[in-house]
Amino acid sequence: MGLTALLVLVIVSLRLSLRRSAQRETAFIAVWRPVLLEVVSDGTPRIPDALHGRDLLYFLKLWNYLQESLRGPAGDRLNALARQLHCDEAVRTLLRKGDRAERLLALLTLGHLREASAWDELAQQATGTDSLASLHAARALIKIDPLRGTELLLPLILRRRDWDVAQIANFLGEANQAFWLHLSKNILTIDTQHWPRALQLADALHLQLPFPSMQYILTHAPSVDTLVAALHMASGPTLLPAARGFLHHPDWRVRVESARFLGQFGDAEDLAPLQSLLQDAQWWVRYRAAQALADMPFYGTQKLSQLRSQATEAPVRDMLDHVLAEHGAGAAPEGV
Amino acid sequence: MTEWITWLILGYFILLNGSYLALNLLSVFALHRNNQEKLLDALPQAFTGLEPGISLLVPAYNEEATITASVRSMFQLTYSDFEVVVINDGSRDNTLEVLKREFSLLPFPEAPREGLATKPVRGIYRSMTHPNLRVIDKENGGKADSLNAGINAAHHPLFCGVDADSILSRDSLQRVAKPFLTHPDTVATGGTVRVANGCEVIDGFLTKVGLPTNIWALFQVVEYLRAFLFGRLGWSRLNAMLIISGAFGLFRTEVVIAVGGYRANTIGEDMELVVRMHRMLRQQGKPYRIEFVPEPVCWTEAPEDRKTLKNQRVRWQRGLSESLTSNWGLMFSRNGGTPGWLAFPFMILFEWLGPLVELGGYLFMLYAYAFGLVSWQAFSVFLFMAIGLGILLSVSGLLLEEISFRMYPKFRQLAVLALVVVLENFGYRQLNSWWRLIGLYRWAAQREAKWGEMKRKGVGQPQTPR
Repeated sequence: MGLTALLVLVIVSLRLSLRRSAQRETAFIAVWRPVLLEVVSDGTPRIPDALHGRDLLYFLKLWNYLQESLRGPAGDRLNALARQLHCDEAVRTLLRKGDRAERLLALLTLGHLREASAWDELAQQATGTDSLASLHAARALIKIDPLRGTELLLPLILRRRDWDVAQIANFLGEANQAFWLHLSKNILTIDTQHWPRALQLADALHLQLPFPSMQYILTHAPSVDTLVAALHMASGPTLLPAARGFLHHPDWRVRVESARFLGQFGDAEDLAPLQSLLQDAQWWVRYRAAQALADMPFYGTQKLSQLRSQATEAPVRDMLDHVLAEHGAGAAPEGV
Repeated sequence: MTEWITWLILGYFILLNGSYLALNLLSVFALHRNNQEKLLDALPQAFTGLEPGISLLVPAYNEEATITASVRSMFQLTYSDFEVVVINDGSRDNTLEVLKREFSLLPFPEAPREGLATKPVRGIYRSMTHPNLRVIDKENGGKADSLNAGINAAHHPLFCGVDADSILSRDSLQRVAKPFLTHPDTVATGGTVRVANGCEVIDGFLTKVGLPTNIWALFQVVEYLRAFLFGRLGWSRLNAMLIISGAFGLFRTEVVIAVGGYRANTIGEDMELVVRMHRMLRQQGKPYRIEFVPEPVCWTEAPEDRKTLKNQRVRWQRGLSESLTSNWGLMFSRNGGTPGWLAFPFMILFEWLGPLVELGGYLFMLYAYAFGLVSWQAFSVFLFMAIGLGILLSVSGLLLEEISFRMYPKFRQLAVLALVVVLENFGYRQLNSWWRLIGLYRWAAQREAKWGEMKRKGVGQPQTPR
């Protein structure tokens, strides 16, 4: 009973302290949000004399929220304000002595501030075991110096599976040229087990790797995942001979990507192989093959309709009906 | 003999409450860590296209009154790539006609896909106004059969089974998909489900969290807190979570197809699938993760009358029985790991056979005390174990809520919950054990499974703000 009463007391005291904190934050926001918004809109706000130490976290939360929502000179003006309020020094202390939440906030802030003097500390944090803290340290490094950051972090970006790949792509978006430079230079020398992730990221950032590298990867791919990722991002007719070789690959995901590639870059020579894929055992392969045929400028839906009328096998007919209907060229059969 | 049984009963209650307290402790650490990351969640999120696509599968049976609002609210979810697949499970009302009218559906000659066996599909429709909406019209086969039909038609690598009456948070998909990005071997995730009774819902979205005034629903608010915040979260930390709520769960499509999809002839198809996934993936020695996301992502209407609640609990117990007995192979298996060596035996001992031992314990102790077979000290210890620790556990559920999400911000709400936490231990929990015992009996007697009618007030009904 005593323990239960203690828990109840803890709940009530938590609630009270939280209420106080929420009230304080609301009061802080009422004063500081207009100031920050005026800074963002290039006005000349009346900046309160000082930022009280206990308000630092509220300020950083608000400031980071705005930084995450903005691009360009507004961010620079917010940085100037933060430095004016000595936040750069305060967050360095948070990074060293704060709890985990404070360290995460500090990592975010140092990145936005592009605080080059924190480079070594951030580099150390980036190799830590805490997935989220290390990822945000990596992000800060890349914000500070995209070229040096991507060079330093490329091995970690490719190796650390606990780093959310979507978040990596998100922050590499601000450094995509630097990433492209280092990836293009190193893609053939990195461990081949990291190729799928490297290709996935390059694809998400709409980067094209040099033709010789792509050709090498396609011909030396150690895994199905690599082949799928490589074919997915491959573009241009120069890779056509390599892509054709995978139309009958034992793994259906590779056949799907190969068919998709041929639909974009193939020529008349590819019609027959694609038509043969319409009889593939895998639904997705049949679907991509039919789509590829429909997408070929010299083939299109008209010829696809002719193919449909000649088709004798039900799976082929069904798939052609499906794709023709998607292209608006087929009437849905009665009762379907 | 009496002494021996007394010790057995006391030992059982000590073990039961001790296990729950251990799970509670695991959850405290997990929630603390989760709390530290909250400030990042509050920042604007951007999508990159690397997020795996999700097919939202919505089985619908006689949902003409609610289906439009449900589907419309799903279109408001924030996620980069998702489709909504409604499966009309041979509804006898106008569910299909309503969908056709509201979403300009036209028949589409979708090529049939080899996959899971289901009742015949009568037709597939695509929306002319919403490119990411499809409707499958099929013969009635139940929820599991509908989900299997949806899986066959799913276009994305992940699918999310959603009850048509579930109320989802806007960022629910984003949250439950996160583990798939940070741990590529994740095969399923589940999120916290909360009671929607008493909440304000506008256009399919929860706009204000409140507490119900109905006592049955209030009891369930506390129950859900306990079940999700330290039950599932604790097991998830051990990668041994055996249940993902059918109201909202995210699965890797190819893995579910590989294990045979949902079992159509079971009541607890959601739990059975997860236990089978554990069993088969463990057998194959494949690395995998089944994770729980503690953030409240889904709100569901809880029964507000005794009869409906009883039916639900009887069904749940039958579902649990079927899920466990059809996957015996997991228990103490060579590759069983924590699911096979810890979670499965726990489920057998405390969840499956629990009502038998608990109610038997109450009856025996009352009888023994009344006839002077046990001392008052022993009887007091029993009451402390059964009721005192029960209250402690419920309070600790409330504490977890307080340190994590604080969905009920008013002091009055907190006071009501604190009162319910105590009250539920005097009658409600024992009643629940009785209903579960009935479920166990019906499973053992192989009585025909009936879903029973779920009386709903319709908290998810569209409302127009005045």
